[in-house]
Formats: sequence, C-alpha cells, structure tokens
Amino acid sequence: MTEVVDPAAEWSVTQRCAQFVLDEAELLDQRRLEEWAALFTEDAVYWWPMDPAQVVPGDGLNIVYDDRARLLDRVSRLGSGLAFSDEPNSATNHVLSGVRVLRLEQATPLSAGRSLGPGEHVAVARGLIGRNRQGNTDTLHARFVWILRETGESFGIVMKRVDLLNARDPLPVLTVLL
Amino acid sequence: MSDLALHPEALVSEDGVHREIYRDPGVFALEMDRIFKRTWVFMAHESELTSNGDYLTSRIGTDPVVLVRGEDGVVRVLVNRCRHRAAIVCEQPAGNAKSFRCQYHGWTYRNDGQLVGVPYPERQAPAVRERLGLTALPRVESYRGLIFASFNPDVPPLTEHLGPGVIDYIDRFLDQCLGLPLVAHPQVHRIAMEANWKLQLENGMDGYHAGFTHRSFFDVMQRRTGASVRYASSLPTATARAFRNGHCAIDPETTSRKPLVTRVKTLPEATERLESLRREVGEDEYEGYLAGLPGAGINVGIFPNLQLIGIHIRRIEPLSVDRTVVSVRPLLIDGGPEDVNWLRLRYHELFYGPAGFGQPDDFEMFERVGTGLDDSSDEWLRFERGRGEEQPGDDGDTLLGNVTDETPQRCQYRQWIALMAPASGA
Repeated sequence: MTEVVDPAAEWSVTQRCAQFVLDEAELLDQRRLEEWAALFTEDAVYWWPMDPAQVVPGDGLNIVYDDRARLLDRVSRLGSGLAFSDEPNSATNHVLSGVRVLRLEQATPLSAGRSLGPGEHVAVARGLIGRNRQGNTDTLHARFVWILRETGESFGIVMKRVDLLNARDPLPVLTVLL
Repeated sequence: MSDLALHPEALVSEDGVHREIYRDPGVFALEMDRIFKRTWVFMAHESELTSNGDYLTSRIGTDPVVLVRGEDGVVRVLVNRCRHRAAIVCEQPAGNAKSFRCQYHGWTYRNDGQLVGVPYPERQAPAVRERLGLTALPRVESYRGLIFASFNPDVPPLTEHLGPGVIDYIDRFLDQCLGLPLVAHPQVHRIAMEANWKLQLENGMDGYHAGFTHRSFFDVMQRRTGASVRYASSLPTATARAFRNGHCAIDPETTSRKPLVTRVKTLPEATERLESLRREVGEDEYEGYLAGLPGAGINVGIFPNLQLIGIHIRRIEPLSVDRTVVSVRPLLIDGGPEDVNWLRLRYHELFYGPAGFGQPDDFEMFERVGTGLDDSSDEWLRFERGRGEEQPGDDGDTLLGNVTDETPQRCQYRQWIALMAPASGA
C-alpha cells in the first residue's frame, strides 16, 4: 500500500473508493450479479467469517469463503432458478455508511493476511442490509471491509469481507449476496 | 393437553403421518416430555470438553442444561436452573469454571452440581445445601466420544440402546479418514428455521430428495468437474437401513464416493494443498487421506437428535412446535495434516451453513412443507416408498431398503409412536 500523506490526495482516494463500493452495492440491489462478480480480481476472496477477530480466511469455519471460481459458482447458482431458497428471488437494499480508507497501520489486521501491494487500499464501512422475500423483510447488520486494487480509472475487488453482527448466533438461511 | 396429544397413535399410520404432528403445540409439549425425557439424547463430542472445568450450555428438548467436566474428570449434565428461583446459573455458551453462581441471589454450585454457597444462611430453611444441588441427569454415557444423556434413570445402557446395526455405521463414520481419531471443530454452523424439528429428522436420512432439492449443487459440481453425478440411483447396492429404536442410515457409497473426491479438487487452494499433502505423507497415504477427506459418504441417524453426515455432527434442537435450530459441527483429523483439515473445512463450507450451496435449500423445503400443511383437504404425508419390499439384514438388527426408499422415515416414526405411548419404556 502506498502511504498517502498528502491530505488532498488522501481525500481523493477515499472519495473514489466510496463511490466504487456504493456503485458495487447498487449492482447487488439491482440484481446485476454477473456484472457484480466481474468486479472481483482473479485472485479475489469473498468472505463472511463467523469470528470478527479472525484475520486469515482459512483459519476457521466460515459462512462464506469463496475464491473467484467459487464466487462465479455462487452467482451462477443464484441465476439458475434452482437455488430454491432464493426462489422467488430476494430483493436487497444496502445502506452503507461512512466509507473510510484506512492508513497502513490500521489496515494490516484487516487485510486477510495479505501484504498490500502497490495501488491497493483497504476500505471499511458499516451497513444495514434490508432483505425482502416472500412477504418477509428482515434486516442484516454488517461491517464491510474491502481491499481494492487500482486498475487505472477504477478498482478491482481483491477481497470483500462481511462481518455479520450476529455471525455467531443461529442464523436464518442466507442465500443472498451482501 | 389438546385432543390430538391425548391420542398420538392416531397421528401415525404404517406409512404416513398426520399433518398435526408438525403443527400442534400439545403434541410438541408431549414430545418434549415423552421423547426427550425418556430416551438417550445426544449432547456433544467429548473433544468439546477436554479439560476439567470445561463446560458448554445446551438443551435437552427445551430444558436448559450445562455439560461440564468436573474436577474428577467426569462429564455431568446439570440442569441449568437455580434450585431457588429458577434463573439460569450459566449464561455463557462455553468456558471453564470450577463453580456456577446464580447472579440473582448469589447461590453458588460446584461444577459437580453441589450447592456450596447460600448468602445469609442463618435465615435459610435447614439442610438447603444437601437438598438443593443442581439437578444432575441420572444417566450420562458416551460411545466413541459421542456423549449422550437421559433424564430417565431406567433407560438401557447406551450401547444396548444403539445396537449393533447403527454402531457399525457410527464406526464407519468415525473411522472415515484412515481410521484416525476425529476432533470437533470449536466453531459450528447453526441455522434457525421456522419449521418443526421432525422435518430435519426425516430429511437427514432421505436419499430420495437430493437429486431434486440439491440439483443446483450437482449442476455446479458437474460444470466444475466435468462429471455428471446424481446422488441417488436405483442400484441395489445403494441402501437405506432401519435399525432398532428409530436409528437408521443411508448408504449410497457405491454411487457417490468417487465424486466426493473429485469435488475436493474444486476447493480453493486445492491444487497447491493436495500437492503439498502428497509431498508430506507420500503416495500411499495420500490416496487414503484423499478418500477420507470428504467423509464416509454415509448418513447415520440416531433418534431423536443426532445425525452424522459428511464430515459433521448434526444436532437437532427443537425450540417450539414451529421453531428449530440445527447445528452442524465439522470434525477434523486429530493431529492430522494441516492441508487435510484445511480442505475439510472448505468442503464443509461448500454445501453447509446458512449460505452453503446445499443445506439452505433443505430449509426452504421445510418451510414450503409448512405452508402446504395449512391445507386441510388432505391431512396425511406419505412415507410409502419401498414398503413391503424391505429385506432383513444379516445381523438381525437391520431392515434393508433401496437408498431412495422411505425405510428410515418409517423406522423413525415407529420409534416416535413407541415413545409417545402413555406408559412407554425407553
């Protein structure tokens, strides 16, 4: 990670990251899932841990731990019409608040055990996700962490981490993307 | 008590059950009393309680309990309820403690249940410490690390209750990876559902549903591995088995074992980790580890609340007539190669848990059944498949059907009705 010292440049990175993750959430909420999956890099990890203190995805039992191939499987299953726990489909409404880009010393415990490369940023936000399906609406609470890699005009998602507030409780079925 | 609960025998026929078995709160209350208080109930794997003082909180039926390994090394099951005014004495899911204190009025119990502290004892009725220890369940026994408990002092010894048929399958499950000892993972997937507990009881031993409910999973695997696989077939070697006391198994091994290994190769980091494993253990052991990595390829059901499936221990936890928690806890190879245990967790995550590619679709079916049960024009659910065509097994303890037969469900409901009778034994 490049240490950003110029406040104006730092603010610019934060703004660009915030714009990116809000656009990303919009793809989920519009159920444009293949476009969403295309935001992930070849070496990406999509990860919902059960333990907020877990640093490395493979170190514990997870709710979701996808490499890119598995993420594409997940999207394909959701689009197949045969993922019955999402038929009829759920609709989501992501509300993300206060996207921050972390400085290196804050970012290290959240970088999934990866060394951050040049042009990589760690962004964090808190979120509420409303979910509606079959006449029921529930609300999921989560902290999101992204590792975003500069691709020129935009970013690729190297990691997206979703820490559900109730990850250690009995959970409802979560055939959904967050 | 509802009229239905007064006559549970009217809710089960030889090949079906009445819809109210899943719906009537009186039937549920009677199940908690006559099933979960009369027979052996699975509690935990002993590796969840390794040191003296280790405890975990749980329930038997709906009764809150604490499992605790005492200072003498003995695992006890204590009712988690202060004998004074009923507050729970242990509020943590797990931990280590020499004693439990009810924080309401300060009564303190040693971890073997003995009441050792009552504040201001001079005003207390006599002999309170002798009279009012935590209620300890009269029977706690284990088989190969699987700890069971019973409220019923007269229940037969655990191994006799299980019997040789299901013990053979428990052994096959526990010996799934080169016969090496297994250890419970400290983390567990727990899924809450708005459905009756018996829908999971039936489904975990259902060799008929997989190719349909889980078609999306098989499609993903087919695309990734290039192999077309369906779980069930009508091969005579793929069996469903009914044992004594409601225990059962499904054994599609001949049709599903090889694809299980193929699926391992689709897991994250599989290529690197399998190569690293091969280097670590050598060619011969590598094949053995690979075969055992995804589990034994059988489903074993111990009535009423334990299922051994894949690499996990599944515990069915009824909360009310229409609410249930199902926990699935992976088993790792005790001291086994890190790559094997790492890939076992990834294999488990693929299908199981709240966002897995398989298990959530079972829960969807349970809820769809719940909606269908609102119909009163047809009050019966049917478990007719293979009835009358089952064969006795060699061991005298087994009834054999085809893997898609409803042999296990009929077996489970025979035990249900036996336990629900007014003056049943265990």
